Amino acid sequence: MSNRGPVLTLLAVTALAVVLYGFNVTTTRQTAASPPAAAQVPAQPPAADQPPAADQPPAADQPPAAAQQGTYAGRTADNKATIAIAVQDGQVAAYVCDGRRVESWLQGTIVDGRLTVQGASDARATGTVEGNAIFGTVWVNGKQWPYAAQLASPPAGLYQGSATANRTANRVGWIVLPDGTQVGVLNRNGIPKPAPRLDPKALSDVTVDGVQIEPQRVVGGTLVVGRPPA
Amino acid sequence: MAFPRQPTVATHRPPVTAATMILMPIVVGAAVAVVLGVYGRLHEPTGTAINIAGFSGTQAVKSWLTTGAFLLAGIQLVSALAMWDKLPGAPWVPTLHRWSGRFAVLLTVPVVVHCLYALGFQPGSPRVLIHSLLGCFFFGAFTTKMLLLTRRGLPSWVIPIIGGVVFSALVGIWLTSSLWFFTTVGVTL
Repeated sequence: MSNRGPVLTLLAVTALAVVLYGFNVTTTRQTAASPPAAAQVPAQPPAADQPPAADQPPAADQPPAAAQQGTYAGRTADNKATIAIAVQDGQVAAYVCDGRRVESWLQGTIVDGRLTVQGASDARATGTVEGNAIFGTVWVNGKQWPYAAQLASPPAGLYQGSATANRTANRVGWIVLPDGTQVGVLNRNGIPKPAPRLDPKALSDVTVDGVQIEPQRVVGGTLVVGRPPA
Repeated sequence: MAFPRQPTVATHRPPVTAATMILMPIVVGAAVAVVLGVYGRLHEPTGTAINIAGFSGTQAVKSWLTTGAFLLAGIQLVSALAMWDKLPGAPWVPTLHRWSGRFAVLLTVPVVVHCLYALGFQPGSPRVLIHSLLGCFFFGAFTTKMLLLTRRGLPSWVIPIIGGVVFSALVGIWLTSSLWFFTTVGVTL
C-alpha cells in the first residue's frame, strides 16, 4: 500500500492550475502586446456602408464626418480605462471607467462630427468622428488619456442602473465592448468599486447588498449627469 | 495508497506524535489558503480570462463545473460513509471515493484559476465575501486532507473530520456561486 496517491493528486491539481494560469497569462499578454486601442481601431474594417464623408475632398485634414446614431465603445490608449459614447440626434451621454476606481459620467453634444462632453469635477472629453470611430482625449481625476471608440452594436454599449436603499445611493455604469468584455463601476455614496456582472442581453436585475438594481441601456438623450435617473 | 480502513492503528502512539502529524498538514493547508487569498486580493483582476466554447459565458461554465464537483462531492459523502462502515460497503467503494474526489477537485481547478485571475478576492457583499473566504479555505483544507492521507497511524477521527470540512466548504462554495447564478441569471449553458 503506497502513500503516494494523495501526493500525486495534489501534484496533478497544482500542475493543472499552473497550466491554466499560464494559458490565461499568455492570452492576456498577447492582447496587451497588440498595438494600443487608439492605433488599432481604424485598422478594423470601417463596415461596408457608404463612406461617411463622400461629398468632401479627400484632403489630409478633412473635416470630421457626421456622427452616426448609436453607441461608440472603446479604450484609452494605455488600455487602463474604457469609454462609451452614446449618440442620438446630436445629444451625447458618455461614460469612462476603469472597472475599479475611476469613473465619470459625461454629457454633451456632437456637432459637425466634433464631440464635447462634460461631467463632475472637471471631467470632460473631446473627440472627432472619423468613419465609424471617434478619436479624442478624455480627462478624469486630473489624468488625461487619448482614446478611440468604435461604433458598436448591441449588446455592446453603455448601461446604467441605480437604486437607493438604507441611505446608500448605489449607481452602476457598465461599458460592454464589442468583444463582449464588460467594464463597470459601482458607486456607493461616492465610493467607487468594481461593478457586479451585467447580463446585457437579458438586462436582468443585479443585486448589490440585497438591493435590486434594474439596468437600462443608455442612449444619447439619456440624462446621465446631474440628476441620476431613479 | 493510504486508506484508513482500520481506523485504530494509532493506539500505540503517544498523543504528541499524533498532534505533530496533524499539525504539519494543517500548517501547509493554512499557508495554501492564505497565499490564495493574498494573491486574489493583491493581484489586479483582469476582468476577463479564457472561456470555454459552447457556453454563454465564464460564469455559466464555472457554475456547471462547480455543480459537477458538488454532485461528485455527494458521491464522496456516501462512499466515505460506506468506507467507515456507516453504510453497507463494497470492495470498489474506496476506488470510487478516490477517483470521484480527484475528478471533483480537478473540475474546480479551472474555476479557481478564473476566479482568482479574473475576479480576485472580493469583500464587496456578504455572498461574495463568504464565497471568497470559502474558496481559499477549500483548497487549503483539500491540501491538508491530501497530506493527512499520507500519514499512517492517525487518530480515527482525523480523516472523517477533515473530509467533512472539505465537503462542507465545497457545499458552501456551490451555494454562494452556482445556486446563486442559477436562481438569479437562470439555468443556462
